[in-house]
Amino acid sequence: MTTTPTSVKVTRSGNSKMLPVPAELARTAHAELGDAYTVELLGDDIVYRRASDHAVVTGSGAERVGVVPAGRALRMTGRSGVPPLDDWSF
Amino acid sequence: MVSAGTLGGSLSWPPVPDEYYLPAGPARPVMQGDVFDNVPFIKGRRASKPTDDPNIAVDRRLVVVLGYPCDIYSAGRLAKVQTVAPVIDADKAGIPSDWDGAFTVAPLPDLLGDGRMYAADLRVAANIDAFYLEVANRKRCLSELGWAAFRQRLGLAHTRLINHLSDLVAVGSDVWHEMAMWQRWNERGRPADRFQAWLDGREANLGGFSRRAALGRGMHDVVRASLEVELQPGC
Repeated sequence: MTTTPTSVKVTRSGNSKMLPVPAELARTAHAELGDAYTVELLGDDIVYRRASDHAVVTGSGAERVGVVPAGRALRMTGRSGVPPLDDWSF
Repeated sequence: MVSAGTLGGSLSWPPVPDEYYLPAGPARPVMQGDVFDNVPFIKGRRASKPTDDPNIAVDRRLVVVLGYPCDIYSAGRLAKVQTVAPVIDADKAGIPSDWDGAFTVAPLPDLLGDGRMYAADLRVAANIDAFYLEVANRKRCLSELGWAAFRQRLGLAHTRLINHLSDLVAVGSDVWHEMAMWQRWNERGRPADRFQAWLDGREANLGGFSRRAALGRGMHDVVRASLEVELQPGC
């Protein structure tokens, strides 16, 4: 689910800065009071994700395993517009 | 470096060749998505019965390196066995102008500088010896954005997931910096196969981390500065 971008302004709250979540966006995202989100910087973008969706990285070196956030990838269905290869002429 | 903000803002889509490729100089380490020409691509066509070995056909053609950068090197050298996909004319793939659909190919815009669209055919893969990936025959290297888009298509082809480009850029950032530093190392005439050993070395000013570990923790500027010190004459 994506929504049309909506402008919001940063406000001050003690030593923190606050970014409001517009009501419509919160409703669409089913964001309820008390829900936990993580926040991080990706390039110039501040990204909020449900805490339950955030990547978990465990282990180290070759044993390091990262679980990719579930909330950000889009699922496509169906066959590719390119037909399966049924001969060797490619 | 491409920032996630740039990806969501001023970048054109589909990207133009200047955004999608890097100059393919000889010092650039071989990387996922590199396109090489005149590579023997092996096809195993059927024999008369399944118990007979296949009839092998070899086409010399454009191919794309499929392996992830971390997995195509062994002790600082290209591993002997590499996996490649053939490059096809995009007219055969039916890629629409916005690249939507056609899940099983990875677009390569203006690959040969003739204004035409080509594509890596991800329905097919073959193994070749790294010996045949001659740098003199390398036609293109992907930019950071191009590499992210290529990985997006790899995932799409085999999982039907479209990972966000900004995520792919962020995930690949350490490797991207590593490749840039390796290229710098090569440009200064250092033996290419020694870079990985240097990257595994430790320095006091990295808090006990190896340079590779520091890179993995986002300390790109510190490691890059360390490289510049290393590359100074007399070091």
